[in-house]
Amino acid sequence: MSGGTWSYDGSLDGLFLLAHRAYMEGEVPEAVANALAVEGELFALLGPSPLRGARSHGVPDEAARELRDFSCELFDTIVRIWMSEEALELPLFRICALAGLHGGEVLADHSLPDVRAVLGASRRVIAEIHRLIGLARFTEEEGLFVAPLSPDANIVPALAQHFARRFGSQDFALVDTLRSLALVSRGGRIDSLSGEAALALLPLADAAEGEVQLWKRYFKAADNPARANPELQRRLMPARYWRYLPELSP
Amino acid sequence: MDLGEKLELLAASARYDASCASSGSSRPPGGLGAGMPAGVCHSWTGDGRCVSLLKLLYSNACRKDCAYCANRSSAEVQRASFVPEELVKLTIGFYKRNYIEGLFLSSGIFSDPDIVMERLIEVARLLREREGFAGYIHLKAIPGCGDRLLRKAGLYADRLSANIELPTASSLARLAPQKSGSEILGAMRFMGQAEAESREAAGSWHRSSPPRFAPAGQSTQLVVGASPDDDGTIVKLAGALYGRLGLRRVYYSAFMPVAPDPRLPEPVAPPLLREHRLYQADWLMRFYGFRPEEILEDGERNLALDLDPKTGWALRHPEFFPVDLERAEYGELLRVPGIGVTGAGRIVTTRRAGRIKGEDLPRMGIVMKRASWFLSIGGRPLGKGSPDPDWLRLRLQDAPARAGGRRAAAVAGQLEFSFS
Repeated sequence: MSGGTWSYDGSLDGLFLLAHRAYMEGEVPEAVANALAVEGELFALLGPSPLRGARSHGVPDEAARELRDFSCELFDTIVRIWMSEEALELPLFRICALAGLHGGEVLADHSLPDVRAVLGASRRVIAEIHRLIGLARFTEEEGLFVAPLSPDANIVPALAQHFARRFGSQDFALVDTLRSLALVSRGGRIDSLSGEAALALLPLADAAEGEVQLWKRYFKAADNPARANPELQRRLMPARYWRYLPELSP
Repeated sequence: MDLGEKLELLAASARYDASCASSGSSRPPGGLGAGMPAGVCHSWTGDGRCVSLLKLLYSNACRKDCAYCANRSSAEVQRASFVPEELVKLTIGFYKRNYIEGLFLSSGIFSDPDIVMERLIEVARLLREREGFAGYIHLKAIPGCGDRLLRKAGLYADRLSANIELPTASSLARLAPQKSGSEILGAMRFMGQAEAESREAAGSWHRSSPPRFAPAGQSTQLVVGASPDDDGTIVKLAGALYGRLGLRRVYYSAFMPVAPDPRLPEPVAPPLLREHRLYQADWLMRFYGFRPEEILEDGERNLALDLDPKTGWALRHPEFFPVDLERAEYGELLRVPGIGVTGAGRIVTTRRAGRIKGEDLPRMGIVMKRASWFLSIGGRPLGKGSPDPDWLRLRLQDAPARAGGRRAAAVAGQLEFSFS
């Protein structure tokens, strides 16, 4: 324990920098100050965008690169803890310090409470990414397909990677309505927007409303009432995700 | 009939086919679409079933008169057929909005098998070649069509399937006399061989990315409860299909009476719990290393409805237990009720990193109320001694069997396999 408080700006790059410090020095602070959490929304608008760190997926800084070379699993876990927005920096740094001292296998030791807490949050992020890969619904307006989302975790960067691959040359945008953030892919280039500019992307109606109506008719016909099991439906598709699903709207 | 009406009719006609997986293929991105090896569920219908693919019949007109089928020739239902362009439009429009992962296309046998197969292939060809679609395509292989067409279908499709529907020749002769078991198995053999050859060619160093034949393999479906065939026959057949023909999935569909027929059993509630137990047995064969003859032993003909088949095996084999957490191999851990694939993996990795303790197990996803009776640690049993087998069986029964009640309906109908 090195004592004191370590501070960072809430970005993924900042988190990597401190995780790398713990890994190299084998020490951890008594407390962590996440400026984003301390200063709130104002800081998010004035300071570095929380999406900025997403570039570390493609071109990691030196600290991130070194951690990735050491253990891909540790690298991915750090990214997911950042996405989770849970206050798990301290357990994460303790794991990084142990990994630096004893090797990357520390993440496999489920008997450690820190490992369980961090991997639990990481798994929740993975589950939400996988869920929204299926449940994101795109509405077309002037050739741009836009999906509104309200995810528990800050997972839009991960979703953008998936949809860029899936849609090829189709322009699309993912709008996180909770965080007022958006990633827009036009002509293969991805840009980020925040605040009103992000929310302004949300379309009012689908340019091809007929497609939406056909989907609703299909969904109804595919259901087999003789096997009705609404409890299972709700368990597999929690109600908090239903607001953007046309098939479940009246 | 407009497109919406056709869509409703031919979606309702296709809903008895249980298969909807979009997994097992990693097709590289095209102009539109890309494969996701793990598959993606895009919604869940009110029956709790995943919607991954746009599942449709090309036509519900059929020459065959299979007693259990909603689309049989003698059924008084409205008939309709798509044209390929309609199916292409629906698939692309839905895919762009992320409603689906791709297309599942089956059909009634409205004409000669070659002609039906050609129509399905034409839809897949338009999607792949004209639209540059790289999403998932599952095509039904029409038994009786030529091998040349099956080969062509496999080059466009990620998965092919030919449904056996009934597990014995006698049941097939009684309920689906116009179907030929040898034709169905012949198609399956051909597809298995073509898939194996394609895999071998893809792995050889002197070829550069040859087109893969049905990279997600083939599947089939068995109807449960329309014939008197027992679970032992079904499990044995499924084991042979996995082992000898290399099938990726066998689906089980509880029989739903759609019209009275003297050849069918009296209409009762669909055997959803039986279907669920068969899926559990299927998972034991695919992921837990069980052989068919271990699942039903000593002349048992049907799976117990009150116990999952893995617990049933554990209760029949006290000599195998307790399994020691510190020394057991992965395959042995998988035999313990309450330990699933994930839990067994976590135990093994945790053991590698340090010492494992009994109190860590619940946090690793182990269901202790089941597992504790079958585990030891450092030679000491985790459970409370050696309980009476009958008492333990009662304790490990599923809740619906013990008390019925609210959970019964949910469990009976479920198609999610969270058991471990």
